[in-house]
Amino acid sequence: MVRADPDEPGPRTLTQAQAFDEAPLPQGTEVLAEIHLLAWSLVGSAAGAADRRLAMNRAAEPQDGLIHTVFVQNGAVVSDGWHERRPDGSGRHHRWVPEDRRASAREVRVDLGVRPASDRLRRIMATNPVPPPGPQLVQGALDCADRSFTPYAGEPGLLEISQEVMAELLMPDLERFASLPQRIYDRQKHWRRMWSMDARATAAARFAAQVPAVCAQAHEDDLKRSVATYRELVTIAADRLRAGWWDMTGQLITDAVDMGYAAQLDKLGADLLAEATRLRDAALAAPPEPVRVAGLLYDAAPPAYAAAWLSHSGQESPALPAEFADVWAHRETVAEEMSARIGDGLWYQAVDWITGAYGAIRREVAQARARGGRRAEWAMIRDGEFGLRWPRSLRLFLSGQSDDPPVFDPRSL
Amino acid sequence: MDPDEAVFAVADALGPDFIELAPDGEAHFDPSTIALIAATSIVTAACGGVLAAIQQSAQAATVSVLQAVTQAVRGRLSRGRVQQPFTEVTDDAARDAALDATAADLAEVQRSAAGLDQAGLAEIIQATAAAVRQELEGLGLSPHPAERVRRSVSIQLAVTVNLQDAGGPD
Repeated sequence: MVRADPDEPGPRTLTQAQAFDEAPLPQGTEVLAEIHLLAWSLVGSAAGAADRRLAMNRAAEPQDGLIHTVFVQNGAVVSDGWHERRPDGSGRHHRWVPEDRRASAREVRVDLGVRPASDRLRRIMATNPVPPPGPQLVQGALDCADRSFTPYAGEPGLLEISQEVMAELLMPDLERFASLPQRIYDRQKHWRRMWSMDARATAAARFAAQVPAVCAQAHEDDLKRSVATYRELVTIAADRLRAGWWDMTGQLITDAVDMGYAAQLDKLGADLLAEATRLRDAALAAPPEPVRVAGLLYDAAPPAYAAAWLSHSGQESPALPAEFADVWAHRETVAEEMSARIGDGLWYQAVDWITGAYGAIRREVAQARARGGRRAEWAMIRDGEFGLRWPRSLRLFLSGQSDDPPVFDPRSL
Repeated sequence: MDPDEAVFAVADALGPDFIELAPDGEAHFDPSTIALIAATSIVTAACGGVLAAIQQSAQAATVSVLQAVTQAVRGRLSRGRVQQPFTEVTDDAARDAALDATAADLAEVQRSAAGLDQAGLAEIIQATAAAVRQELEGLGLSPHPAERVRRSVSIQLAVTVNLQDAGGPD
């Protein structure tokens, strides 16, 4: 949603959550744009991410210092985390904080019963007739987001893949068995296209399709061994998929490294990161059209996540050859960072569009230029670009050299 | 030309791939500041390469110009220096100090190159940009962004020394 005059100052400063809550529901073709952006911000990276971000933003104004975030659902504490925000704007997440530092932390309680992004998406669907397959897609995204707030909820896409593999293993038909990797791959693609699988589950499903296959390829000249390797690893994948993406990824990758397939996994990890990089670069080179940018980031998220998790899980194996240790540690750092930025990018495509933030950002850039000259202007525009908040094509608008704000082009769909 | 623009161009060539230069594990990722400070290190190293080559060309050389370039670039583009902004909190003052120092390096290159043979300068720039790419790949940057940086360094040096071929020596 874009305000008519991007240079017109807003009446007051709102938090992101307030601006989101107050944004009017979309009209006309903007309905389609917002449905895509909201759904992708909900399931594009980690399921429910947009709801969590908004719930956190509602719970606390951004403040410097150490924050202990406690997530509460139906009155019960379901998880917690630590993060630090510094005066220079940088920050850091901590899995664990020493006791002596905990006393200085500010506790923020986040009610996960509040689902602003899901609620808005439901309201849009209730007030607008959306042609098929829109309702089915949106329901898929909402269900996927809901599952992320339900402890021990099964992942239907992963269960479906698990059941298909198990059926094949029980009644082996060699011809069908040969096509199993492709069929698993197609299934994850289908679930992802139906907005029903987040990046983590999609990554796990891709591992189920690709890891046994690439390891089996190591024995191209020995069909019997190749089939045995594939069967062993795909059985682990199918068994662990029932327990969810986390469990499955860790066990399958570690087992494959233990079995001596680090070289095959190394190539798979490099290929996944290259795929994510290519899609991220395409998003950065896209026109100033948030749906186009978000679509590319949506596709980039699973391979980025998979590259990070493959590298991370592989390092857990004591059998990882020394020659790969540094390469995988480096790849994990790069892929994990890219994955986080892609999640940020998906979020910002939605929230900046819905809240009409571009005009305000343009004014902030002008203020930065007035204060700190070209250096400050460059830094501000590139912060958004390198953080995947906007594509390079938005430079002219943000720097005041063009008056054309981002627009939705239905041809992007 | 504005020396800041040369650094901005190199930082843009590096783009979000600057994270490939990060140390493994936990680190800061303030996007533009880190990319910009990494770009100042790259441009400063390139300036060092060009100056070493000019000096070497003017002397009875004990080492080849190519060796001098490689040594100068390697010395200034060390792992510790490139990774420093990832491990320390950097602010606007640190960014400005790095840009000012790089502007001085570029000015020194401009002065030293004045009046020198254009073909010789083109060769020096080409060798320097190639050495920068090689060092960056050694520090973990992938070939694709490393090549983008090489081209950008080459163009910015060509503009700095006022090489007649506006596109640089490529």
